[in-house]
Amino acid sequence: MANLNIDSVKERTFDAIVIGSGISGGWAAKELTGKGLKTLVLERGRDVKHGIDYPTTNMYPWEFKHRNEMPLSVREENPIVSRCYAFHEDAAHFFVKDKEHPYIQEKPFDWIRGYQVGGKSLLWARQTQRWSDFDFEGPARDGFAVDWPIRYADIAPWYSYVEKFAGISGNKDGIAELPDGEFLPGFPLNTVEKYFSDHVKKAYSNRHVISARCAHLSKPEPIHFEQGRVQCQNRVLCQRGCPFGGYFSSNASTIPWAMKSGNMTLRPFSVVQSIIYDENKGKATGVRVIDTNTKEVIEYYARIIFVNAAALNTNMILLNSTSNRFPNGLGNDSGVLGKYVAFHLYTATVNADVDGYTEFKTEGRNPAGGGYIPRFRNVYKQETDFLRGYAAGLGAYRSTHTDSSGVGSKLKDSLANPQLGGWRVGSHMMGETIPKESNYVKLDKDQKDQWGMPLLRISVDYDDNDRKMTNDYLEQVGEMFETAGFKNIRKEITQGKAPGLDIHEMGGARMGHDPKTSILNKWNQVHTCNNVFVTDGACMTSTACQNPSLTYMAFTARSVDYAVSEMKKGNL
Amino acid sequence: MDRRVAIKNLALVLGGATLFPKDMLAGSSNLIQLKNVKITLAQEKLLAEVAETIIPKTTSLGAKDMGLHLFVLLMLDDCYNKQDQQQFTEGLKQFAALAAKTSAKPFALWPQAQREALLLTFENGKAGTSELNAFYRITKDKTVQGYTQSKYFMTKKVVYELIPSRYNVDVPVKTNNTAVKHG
Repeated sequence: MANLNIDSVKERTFDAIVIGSGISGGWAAKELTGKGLKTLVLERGRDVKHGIDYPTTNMYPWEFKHRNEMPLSVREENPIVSRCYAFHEDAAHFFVKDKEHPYIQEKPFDWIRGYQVGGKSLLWARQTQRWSDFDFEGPARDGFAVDWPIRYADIAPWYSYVEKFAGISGNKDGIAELPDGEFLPGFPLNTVEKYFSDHVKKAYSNRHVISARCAHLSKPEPIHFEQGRVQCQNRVLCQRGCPFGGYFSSNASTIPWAMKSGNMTLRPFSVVQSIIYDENKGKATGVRVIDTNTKEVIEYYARIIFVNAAALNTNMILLNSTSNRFPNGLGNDSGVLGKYVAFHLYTATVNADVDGYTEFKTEGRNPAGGGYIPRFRNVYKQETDFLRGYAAGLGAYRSTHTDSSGVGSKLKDSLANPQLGGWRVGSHMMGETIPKESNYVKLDKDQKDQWGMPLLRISVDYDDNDRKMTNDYLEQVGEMFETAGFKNIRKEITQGKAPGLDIHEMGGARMGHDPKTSILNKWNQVHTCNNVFVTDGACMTSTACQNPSLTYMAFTARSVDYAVSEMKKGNL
Repeated sequence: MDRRVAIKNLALVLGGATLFPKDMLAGSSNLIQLKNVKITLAQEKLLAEVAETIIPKTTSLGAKDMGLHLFVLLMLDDCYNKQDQQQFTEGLKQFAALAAKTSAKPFALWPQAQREALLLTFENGKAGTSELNAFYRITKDKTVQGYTQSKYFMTKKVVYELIPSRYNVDVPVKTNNTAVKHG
């Protein structure tokens, strides 16, 4: 170390360190600074300031050189990220390019990353559904992974807490398997979505079609104005960054809030190499950072550390944090670290045409995307030959048809006069996967990246349960469409889609009761290193089928509350 | 302004309703520099005439006014694979030969109806060689895209709203003719 004098150490000492500034790191920063802790937030990428660093946000379609299409050379150089639905000219600058950050695929895995302040919170699909006890009790009931050390009652007040601040739109639907939250008004279902919802209610006792719940300010409250955010303008250009703060991102919400407290130091361009463990104290004392520009190694110190680097990167940091006490990675006495990685099945769609309702159309855009079908399979009891179940997105829209045949003035006329066509309806599957020991990440022994970090080896694959579930989705949603009278039903398995593209990778440092089979306790606290907390996707014991971000936010706020109260008691 | 700078600037604002002075199109060097595709000046000018046939100047702007053939070439150069690019350039060559065989007059001087008639033979993709069909398909698709996604079209011919600030459902439809609104 170049700087060992006492002043320098003092300058590099904080009450808390947060590794990562994405959706959960931003929450850790907000909560810690809000409780008065001097907090260092480390981000491996560049800074992205709300409103200022959204270069494409107000661009018109004709202002994109290739009308938002990625040039072939970019796609060929970056086959992985090019498979992501949102990788276009308007948002490409928020995605990691393949070559800059290599990893090793023992099996095909499309790892989509956003290395900047705000992380993937700039890019997420903003769907926010709570878990229920049908999810938290899943592993225990169905005999996989390990039992969650918490139940819905533990997390429910924290869901409320984060929902109020983030701003979640939705309706009180009164469905036990998808608990209601603190909602701003929901976005409405359109004519055909409503028809389908009514049909499903009549035809099935336990199935529902509701307005998708999402992190958009449909009707902001004072707490949102206080953040400098205003009503969602229904642009649905969210992946560019929203100058209105119409949807929740770390950049629009938690990071500036933490900054305003005066207690946050934000350090971009900082790859965390490892967490420093002090054998005498039996605690972590800080983190070792590599400045990505100068490659200088700098140590920072704090009493507590929150690891929020995104699921697989959090695994990487913990695995790389070795010491005499923890030769296999921090907190990894059990050997479980990096294992039981799971994800979500986004492997199938059902689409159809709809007769009728042509006396109606919609105007504007729906940021919620349409409807949501909560999980209905194996909820109250096991009823199929696969474990767990799936949710589904559901959207209907009125097609428009532009006659682009011919040439000349006739063509010009028809291009300027598109005709309304019939309604179409579509659904996509979001399935739970079973965490397995054989789905793992680990560090490569030899290969390193340009900062000297070992490359991550990813070995994650589908299994029979996934295939059976995918087929059941096609069958069941196909049947729901059929009984609704939809026409020309097209059931498709998305061919060649590797795990990872769901961008819901989870696990590796799972929570559990027992240090012998899990890394974290019920407070997201490393069992055997009690001043380190993991509250991003790495902590997930199972995956349920809800979009996970809201749960990470709630875990984070709850865990910070616990950590700070333990500090006050002198236990940390 | 220096001609090269002028051309560079034109290329930069390609998407907008760039008005191309006639002498630009009559110039003696290519208006667009391509990385992968090789196009002669004569071919570039012929492509401008093909695009103008697809989107002619009427009471509203046409392809030449908007430089749509340059958008076709930009997209061909940056977004298509080598095979498509080769098919296109070969098809363009064949098209020039076919036009020359059809009439002694340069294609640019044919009446609009005659130019349209020749293009329409490729409309269903069955009449010509695979190269001719590929050339026509790419030119037509990208000319139409360049037109419908131009500032001119999206502000003067239809309505594009960046901020609709609304999502209304159950909106009664009076006629099936709809003004295009994004979303």
